[in-house]
Amino acid sequence: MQTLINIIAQGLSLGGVYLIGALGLTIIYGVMGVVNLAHGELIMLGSYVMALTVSTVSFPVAVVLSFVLVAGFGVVLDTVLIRFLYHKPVASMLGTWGLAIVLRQAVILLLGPQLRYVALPIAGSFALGYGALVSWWSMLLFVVAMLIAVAIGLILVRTRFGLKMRAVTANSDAAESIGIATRNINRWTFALGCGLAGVAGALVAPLRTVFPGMGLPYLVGAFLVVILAGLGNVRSTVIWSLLIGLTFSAVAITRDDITATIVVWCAALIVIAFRRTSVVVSRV
Amino acid sequence: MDHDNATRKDFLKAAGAVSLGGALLAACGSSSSGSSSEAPATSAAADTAAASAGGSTDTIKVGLLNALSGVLSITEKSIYDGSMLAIEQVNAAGGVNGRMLEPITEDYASDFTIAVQKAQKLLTEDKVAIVIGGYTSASRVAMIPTFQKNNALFFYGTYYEGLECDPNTFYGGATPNQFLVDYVPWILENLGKSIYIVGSDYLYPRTVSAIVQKLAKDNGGSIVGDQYFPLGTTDFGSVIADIGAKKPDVVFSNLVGDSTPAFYKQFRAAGYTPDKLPIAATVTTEVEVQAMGAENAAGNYMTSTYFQSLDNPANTAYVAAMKAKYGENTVTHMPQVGTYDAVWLFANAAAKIDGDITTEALSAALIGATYDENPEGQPITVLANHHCNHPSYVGKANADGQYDVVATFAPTDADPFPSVIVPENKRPTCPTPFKPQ
Amino acid sequence: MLHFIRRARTADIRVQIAIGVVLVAIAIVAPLVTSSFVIGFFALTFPLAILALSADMMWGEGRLVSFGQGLFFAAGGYIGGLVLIGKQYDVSGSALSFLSEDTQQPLMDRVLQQLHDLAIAGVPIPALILPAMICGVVGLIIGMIVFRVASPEVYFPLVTLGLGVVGGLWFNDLSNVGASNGLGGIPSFTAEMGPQQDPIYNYMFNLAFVIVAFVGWAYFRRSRRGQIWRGAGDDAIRLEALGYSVRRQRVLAFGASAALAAVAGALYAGTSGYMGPSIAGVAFSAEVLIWVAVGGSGRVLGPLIGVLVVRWGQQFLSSNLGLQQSWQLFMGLALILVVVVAPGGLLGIRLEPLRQRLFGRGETKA
Repeated sequence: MQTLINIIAQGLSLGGVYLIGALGLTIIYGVMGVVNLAHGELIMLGSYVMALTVSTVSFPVAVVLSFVLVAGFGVVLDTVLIRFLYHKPVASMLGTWGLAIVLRQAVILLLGPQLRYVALPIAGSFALGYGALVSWWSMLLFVVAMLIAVAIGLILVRTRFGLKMRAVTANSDAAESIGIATRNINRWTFALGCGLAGVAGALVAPLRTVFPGMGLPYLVGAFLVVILAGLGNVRSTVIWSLLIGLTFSAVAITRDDITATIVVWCAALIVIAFRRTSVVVSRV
Repeated sequence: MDHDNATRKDFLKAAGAVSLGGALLAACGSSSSGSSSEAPATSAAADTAAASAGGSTDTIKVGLLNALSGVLSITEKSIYDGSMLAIEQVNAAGGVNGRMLEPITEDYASDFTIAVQKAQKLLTEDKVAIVIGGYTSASRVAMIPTFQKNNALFFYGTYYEGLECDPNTFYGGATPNQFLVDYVPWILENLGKSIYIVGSDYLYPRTVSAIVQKLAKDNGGSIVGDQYFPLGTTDFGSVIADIGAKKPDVVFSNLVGDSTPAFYKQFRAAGYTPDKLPIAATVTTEVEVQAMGAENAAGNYMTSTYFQSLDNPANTAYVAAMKAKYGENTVTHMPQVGTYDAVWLFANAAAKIDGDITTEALSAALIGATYDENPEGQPITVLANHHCNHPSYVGKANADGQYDVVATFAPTDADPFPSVIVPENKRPTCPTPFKPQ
Repeated sequence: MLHFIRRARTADIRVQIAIGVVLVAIAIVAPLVTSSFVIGFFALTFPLAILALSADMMWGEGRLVSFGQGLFFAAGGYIGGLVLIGKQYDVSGSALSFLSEDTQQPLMDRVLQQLHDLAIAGVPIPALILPAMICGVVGLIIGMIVFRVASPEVYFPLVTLGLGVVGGLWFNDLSNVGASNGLGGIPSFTAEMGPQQDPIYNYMFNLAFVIVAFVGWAYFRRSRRGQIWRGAGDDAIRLEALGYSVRRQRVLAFGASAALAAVAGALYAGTSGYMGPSIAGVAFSAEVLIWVAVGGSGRVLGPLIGVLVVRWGQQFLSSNLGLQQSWQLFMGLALILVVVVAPGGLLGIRLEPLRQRLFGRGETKA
């Protein structure tokens, strides 16, 4: 029983981390057809903003700063690079991979390669019964991830901006012809995706290690979710993130992490092998 | 894409190709970093015959091959810093018999295909007397074939798992038998009898784990768990949950790199404090402690041949020199000290050689070479099996992010194939005598 | 051969042939005038060019980006490496093997010994054939699973990404091949030809393979099967309508590209003496793609030019210009530049604007 509770608790928390990573990736692809391989580095930038500011401002303010600064940086990136890559999957993969290299090295050069420390704002853990313990922070990660997903969903469905986003996703030429400024939608969606990555980085920083190379595992995890959930579909992303998190935890707790990684990937490949449709699903 | 009469374009492209080829050739012809153009070599054997190394008569070239960018640079950059300090100090003290050391720095960017190339460059083009560097065992194993082919020596300064005895390599770091053999019984006596082992997934932690398991069983302890995590893992929820279920007395950590601070933080966040469940580690150096925050490390244990807090004159001078050169926040740690010592040992060995520093002469001179100002607290000497002697300590992390020494063990000679884990029929002759190719 | 050149109607192909001939000439002449470092450098780089070619086999014509070439490269290196070692070293030379009392792996030893001895002119041929066979078959099997999906342009890269991740983990734990330390001390293919300090033997050996691989690929592209393969990439629907099975083309191509990557890996292992699990990972496979992108995907010489420019560029920036810590930054910027400014790579740089200004011609096909 204790094992089961642990599996669920850890699984949801892990799923939350995957979710935050995958959401940014999936929205950006859905709206502008860009596969953003620099997503992990954007998360890293969010962590760095947190690491550098948390000693001077309060934690929530640092989170907001992460969102704002990385989103702002996203606007710059879009102007300088991303807009040349719209709707070109392969070019965007390579271009953003180059961007990832540049961001990583720039941080190493400007801030140094050493590991950085961020204190845990809410320490401690609570008991879930049957001897199972989980830390407050990992539960918080899960809750925040779900809130972000819900917020995205609401934005997409209930706001005008979201409506425009969906229009552009469905058919950007048609959207342009009915007067939607696709240029702006693309830019602000990219900024939103970056901002989300920034927040993700800020939130995982206290429980993990902040250093220039921290981004790649998040990217790989996000890709795993996206392979299964399809690109551009928020609801599916949420479901699959949690499923993957739970599966991974189940195998990791009962066996070990390495087996879990192999099992999860093999399972993913098998699931897809039995799906005859392409992975690209652009519905919200 | 089909243009039948794009003659001008054709011409420009062909011209471009030819000039590219010409430029490549020109670049190939001239050499890099100071030494003059290579004479055309009809047989490359002439270049790499067991001939003298080093640059002009004024300097001795030393190759420093480290990962200064990429994942490994987190730790390896500070290792490089240590070797540069040593070179400065050697030169300040008058060099080697009046000849200054000239460091040639190369970055293999955490990519072993580049490491092989750079090693080759240092040996065939720069003709360095020795290459010092590397950090992970994989980096060392990747580079060794190049050293063997080119008849050259490599000084590896980081502690590692042993089980190797390469004639072209000298090992400045400790082998497991030099600290584990005393550490495990100490743990069983002072922290508890049941151990849960966690480690990163590569050879060093697996070897250490095998040794720990054998030592524990021989000394009345028991192992309740043995888990490995791919390098770069930063989520430990599952194993922490399992630790909660298995209830060991102590967690033995062989986690490395960015996994370490993540684990300690998450472990603490899950409610485990060192008085309830201490962590005893082998790779949680001052670098990782700085990254996890002193409060997450405090109260946990670590074994090492070196701590920044060691109170001896050599170390006080060393730490002061590192801070003066690299900043107040500089952290000194075990692999860095090993590499620093390697440079000094090389310098002291080279000083004993009359004439050219050939590989044979250097290899012979290194055996028995010593360096007295070893920050570890005792002179370091190179043994016949190419490894060095080291003291070892147990440290307990304090609230300042440093380790207080709580136990000191008698120094042991390095044995890469300790009988405690290697069966008699598997022990090779070590050292294997140096044979020119 | 002449027939082939005469059939090369487009200026592009003619130019590439010209470049190719020039490069081969340089390659053959170069060892007489350059240092052994340069010879050794290119000896190591030639197998990488073949690896890049294997990636472009999927990408250039088939429009499918593979992140798994590093995996096949590493597998080929391991298999080839074991056969190459078969005779001179204890096969189970991995460190972990010291921890157990087992001394016998007689079957493995004997098999490898036999394979090693099947040498032609001193070159252990099975060390090249076995990797190709095994990885080719694995590639076919994976292809059969993966290409069930109708439009795999985005799906295929992601799956190969997963393969890279899992493969890397698996090799990392496989003690027969040295586990995380990797397989070291691999003797060269040309060990019987001359003293191994001299890189010229490996250089010539690998050069021969590079020439065969690229000429073979050029030939294949013009052949009927090659045209069909290009059809699968350009317009799969139309190809299906013509009665060809797009799925089969893709599966065969992936098997072939896996086999070629494996051969490249075996060559590399023999030349460098080492193969390790980190090379199987995603980061290295991504680098391979960068080489192809820089050189120009879809063109015969693209992978070759890309590898030469990028690897030499890395070497030059880091060693010669002393930019030890910032050279990666420049590589990243170069990649971005190539993608944005010259999406066809170096070989695809078009002088259209210049030409139009000079000759005032109308719109030409991209």
